[in-house]
Amino acid sequence: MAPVRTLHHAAGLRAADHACWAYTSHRGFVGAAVTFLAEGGQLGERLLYVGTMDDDELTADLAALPERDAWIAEGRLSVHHLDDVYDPQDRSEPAAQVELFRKEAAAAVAEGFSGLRVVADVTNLAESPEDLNRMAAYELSVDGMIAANPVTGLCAYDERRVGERIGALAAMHTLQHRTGKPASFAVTLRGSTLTVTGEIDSMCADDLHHALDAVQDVTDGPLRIDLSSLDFIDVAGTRTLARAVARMVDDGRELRVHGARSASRRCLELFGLDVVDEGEEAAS
Amino acid sequence: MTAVQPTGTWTGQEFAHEGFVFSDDDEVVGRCVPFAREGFDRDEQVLVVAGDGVRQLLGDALGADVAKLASLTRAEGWWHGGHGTLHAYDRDLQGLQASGRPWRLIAEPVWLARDDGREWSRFEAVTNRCYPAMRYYSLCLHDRRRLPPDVIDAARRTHPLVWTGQRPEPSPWYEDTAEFLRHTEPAWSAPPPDATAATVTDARTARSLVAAAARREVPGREDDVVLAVHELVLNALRAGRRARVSTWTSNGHQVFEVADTGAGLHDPTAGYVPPSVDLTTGRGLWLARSLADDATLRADDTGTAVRLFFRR
Repeated sequence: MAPVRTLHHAAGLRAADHACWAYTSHRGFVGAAVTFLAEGGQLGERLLYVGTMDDDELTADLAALPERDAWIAEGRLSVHHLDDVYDPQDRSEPAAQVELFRKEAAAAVAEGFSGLRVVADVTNLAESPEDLNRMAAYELSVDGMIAANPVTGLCAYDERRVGERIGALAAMHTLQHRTGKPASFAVTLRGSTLTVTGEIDSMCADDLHHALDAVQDVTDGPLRIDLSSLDFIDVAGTRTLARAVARMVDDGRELRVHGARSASRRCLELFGLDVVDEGEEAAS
Repeated sequence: MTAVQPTGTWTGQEFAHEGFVFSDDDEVVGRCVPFAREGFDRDEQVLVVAGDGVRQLLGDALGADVAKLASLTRAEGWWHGGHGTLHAYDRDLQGLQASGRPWRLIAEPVWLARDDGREWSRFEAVTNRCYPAMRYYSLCLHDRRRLPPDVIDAARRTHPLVWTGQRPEPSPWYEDTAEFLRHTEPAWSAPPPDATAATVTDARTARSLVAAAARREVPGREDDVVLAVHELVLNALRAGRRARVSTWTSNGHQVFEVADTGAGLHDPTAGYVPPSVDLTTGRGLWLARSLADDATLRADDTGTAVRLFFRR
C-alpha cells in the first residue's frame, strides 16, 4: 500500500491516484485544477471539471488551460455542476455514486481515451457537521473504486467552509494537500483490509475517530486492520483506535489487528488490544 | 513464650508489606506455613507465586492442605521488565480486590537475581505508596543464598514490615518511597556542555528531531525513543507553551530530557504504577518510563524535567 504523502503541486498524478486538495482561496484551487487537467490532457485522458457555479463560470475558471476550447470541442473536456454528478436525492448511498464514476471511466476508455480524470470541488457536500460521516464514507468508497480503475481523482475542499472536518476527509486520500501542514495519516480500504499509513498523534486522533466511523459504515463482516505501514501512533491515537475496535467487536464484528511495530505494540497492549503477528498468522 | 502471630495486628482492612529474608529451607517453612494456615482459618484466599525450590518446600510442608491454596504459581517466567510485571500484577490485584474479601500472598520475586530484574526494588517501593487500600498481606521472600547483598539491602529498605520470629514489626531499615527512589534512580547532574538542545512548540517537530538523534546514537531503539519523548513533550506542552528537548551521552546511555516551565507537581512515583484502563490521562509518563531503560524526574517552582536513559 502506498504510504500517505504530502502533495505540494497538483502534478505527477496517474491513474488510480486519489488526491485531496484543501484550499483557502478559489484562485489557488483553480491553479491546481488547471495543472491537474493539463497533465491529464497530455496523457490522453477524458477530463471532468466539477464545481458549484454555472457552466460559463466553470469554463472561465479554466482560461489558463491553453487547449481548453479545443478540448471542449473534441469532447475531451467537460464542465459539470456538482448536483449533476452527485445526485442530491441520492447522496445517502455512496455505492451508487461510486458506480456512476466507474461507468464514466469505462465509457471514456471505450471511446478511446486512456482513462478518466476528475477534479471536483466537493465543499458543498461537507458543509455541515452532519455531512461528515456520509462524506467520509463516500470518499472511502471512491478511493477503493479509483484504485481499481483507470481514474485519477482530485477532491477539492474549501478549508474555510469545511473547517476541522477536513482532517478526516483528507485521511481518505493517500495524497494530501493541506494549507500550512504536512499530511499526517490516511486510511485505505481494499476488500476487508483496512490499512492505516502515516503518523497518528493526539492532534489528529479525532480525525481518526471520524475516519473509523466511516469504515464501520462502509464495511460489513470481518475486518483486518493492517498497521504495518503506520510510522507512528501515540497514546491518544491508540486510545481512539482501541475504542473503535471495541465498538465494532461489540457490534459482533470479527476484527484483527496486524503488523504493529514494537513501540506501537506497547501502546496497543496498554489498551488491551491484541496484535496478531504476520508470522503467527502464517503459522496458524 | 507468647504464641506466634503470623500477621501481627493486621485486620485485613489495608495493605501490609513484609520483606522476609531467609538463609535456609527451615526458615521459609517456619515463616510461610503458619502464615498460610492462618489464612485458611480466616477463610482468606492464599496465593503463592514463588521459585521452584520454595514451591516444592511449601507443597511438601502443607501436605493435603496445598489444595486450599487459591493458586500456586511459578515465579519463573513472570518477569517482563518492571513495568510489564507490575502491569500484570496490577491486573490480578484489581481482580482480587473486586472480590471484596481480604487475601494474602506469598511472593518470591526470583527475578531480583537477574541484572535486569533489580529495578523491581523500585516497584516494591512504589506499591507502599500506591496500594494502601488494597486488602492484602504481601509476604515477600528473599533468599540470601541466591540474591546479592545490595539486593537484600534494597529489599529491607522497601518493605515497611520485618519478621521478628514472633510477629511482624515496623522495619528499622524502611525508607519512604520518594527517598528510596531518589537514591536508586540515576543521579541528577547538570547536562554536559556538548548536549544538543532545542525548544519546540509542537510534538511533530520534537519527533523528527529526536528520531534523527536516536537513529544516530541508539540504532534499533528509534521507535521507543520517539514515542517516549513524544508523550513527554505532550505533557510539557500541556503544562507550558513550549518544551525544551535535550540529548547527550552519559555512562553508556543516551539521555533524552524533556523540560517545561509549567508549575510542576512532583510525585516521584508518577509513571511507575499502571494507569487504569478507563483512565484517559496518566498513560504518557508510564509508557515513557516503560520504554526507556531508566528514567528520573525533577520538579520545582520553575518547571518539570524528565530524563530518559537508553543503553547505547
